[in-house]
Amino acid sequence: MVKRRIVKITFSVVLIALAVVMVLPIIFTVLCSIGIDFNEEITFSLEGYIDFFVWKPLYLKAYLRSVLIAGAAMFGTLLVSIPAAYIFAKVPFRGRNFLFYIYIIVMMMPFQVTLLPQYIVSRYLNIYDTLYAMILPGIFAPFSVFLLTQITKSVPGEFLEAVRLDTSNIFVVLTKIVVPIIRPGIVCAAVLVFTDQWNLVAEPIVLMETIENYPLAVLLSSSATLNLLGFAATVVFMLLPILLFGFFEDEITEGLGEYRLK
Amino acid sequence: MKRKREVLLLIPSFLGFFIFFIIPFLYSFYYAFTRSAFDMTWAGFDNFKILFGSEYFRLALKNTIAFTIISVPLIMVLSVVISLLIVQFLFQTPLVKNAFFLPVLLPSATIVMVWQAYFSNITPFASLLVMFLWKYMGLNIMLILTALAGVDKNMLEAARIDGAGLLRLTWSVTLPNISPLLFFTFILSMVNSLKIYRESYLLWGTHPDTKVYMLQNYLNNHFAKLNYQNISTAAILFFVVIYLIVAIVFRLEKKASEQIW
Repeated sequence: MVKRRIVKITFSVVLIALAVVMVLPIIFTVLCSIGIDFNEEITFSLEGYIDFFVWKPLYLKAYLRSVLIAGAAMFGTLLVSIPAAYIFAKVPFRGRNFLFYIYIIVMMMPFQVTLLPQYIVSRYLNIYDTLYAMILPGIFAPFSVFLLTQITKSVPGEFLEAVRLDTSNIFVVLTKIVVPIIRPGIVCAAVLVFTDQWNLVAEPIVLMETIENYPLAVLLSSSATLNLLGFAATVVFMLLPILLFGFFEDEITEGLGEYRLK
Repeated sequence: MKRKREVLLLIPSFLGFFIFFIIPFLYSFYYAFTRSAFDMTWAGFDNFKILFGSEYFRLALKNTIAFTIISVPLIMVLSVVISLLIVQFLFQTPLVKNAFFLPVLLPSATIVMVWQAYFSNITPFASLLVMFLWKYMGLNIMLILTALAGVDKNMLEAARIDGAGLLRLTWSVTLPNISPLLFFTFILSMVNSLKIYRESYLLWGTHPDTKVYMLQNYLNNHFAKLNYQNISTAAILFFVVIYLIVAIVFRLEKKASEQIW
């Protein structure tokens, strides 16, 4: 019993120490945003935040565009990916593995390879330099199909078969059975897609040319933003994904509690 | 058969995927066999010869392989171990899980600034490795925790009654159970190991130390020069290598999960 306690305390301390290391740069950013920089003299100031919310509308507008792009991509991608994932995981058809490989491989391609052709396609579809040039590829990106397929695989096959004896309507099966079972996975996918879209830098630069159309990540990506305003914007930038992460955490806590080994 | 019609549910996803990803992908295949952006005549395999003749390309390839072979297994093992430890010992401490996820939200410019302030005296290769682990481990942990939350509790209970110990239970029940998501996490780690380029670029610009000159540096330098033939040719090689890796790992995952179901 005593030995167990020691093990528990040791591991807890190690994990917490690791967690602190992970958070240090973020604390550092928050401190910088209010003027507390350890390299120079400390001058407390909320100027950065006031600039962000009041005097520099470019940033706030970029922030709202980021919300729009990441939000639309997140909801859209769930809508098309959940049915697709179900098919890939549970309905065999000829060429299924090959098609699935293609999704995976396209996901792995470096952006330099596909970005220029994507630019050509967006020109052709007349969505170049609009928010759609970001949102549409975001919706159809293979990432969430791949992730949700892997999650749907864990839904027991016999159970689905039993349900299907009761109803032949696939939409009922999806909304009443599959979605509730894989809910934690869906929330996880939603958070990851949102974060991914939120952080994109290279894509907006190629798919848009008007600076007034850029999302916030682009404005924060150059080292020219290492000033009060830049740090304040970074702190605001991180808040929404952290909030989303809270939802995710609530979603998995119950499952993890049951999983814990005695 | 009604079952057959269900495959139609794939169409919305596939249609968009085709327009925004497959067509661009095919475009780049086409570029690989043409002379240049201004002379779109058939070049055969000349571009491949040029690519392999390039000293920079070979260096980039070598460095990328070295980085991937070290970083991906390392992040996988660390993520799995830390996830299991979090669940076992700290699952009621929400802040810990949050902490691991936070770094992925920081813009690269900020990460690099913190880096320059505190860690500038370690080697470039080690810098990239630590930054990679620091930035992306949270994503992996998040995915693994999701998988752990979904493990079939009856199966665990049955194994426990059979007298399986903690390690045995983890090895023969938990890990095979979460193997589909481990496969995903593995692939995502490979993708992310290539993305560490963004930090490298901000730290050292277009031409970093020769130990960390990676494929992405090579691709990006040619991207900037609009030398598209070169990028596309490299992409095809990428495609072949990735296809092989995916096919092999996919088989392994299938084997692991078949033990269970």
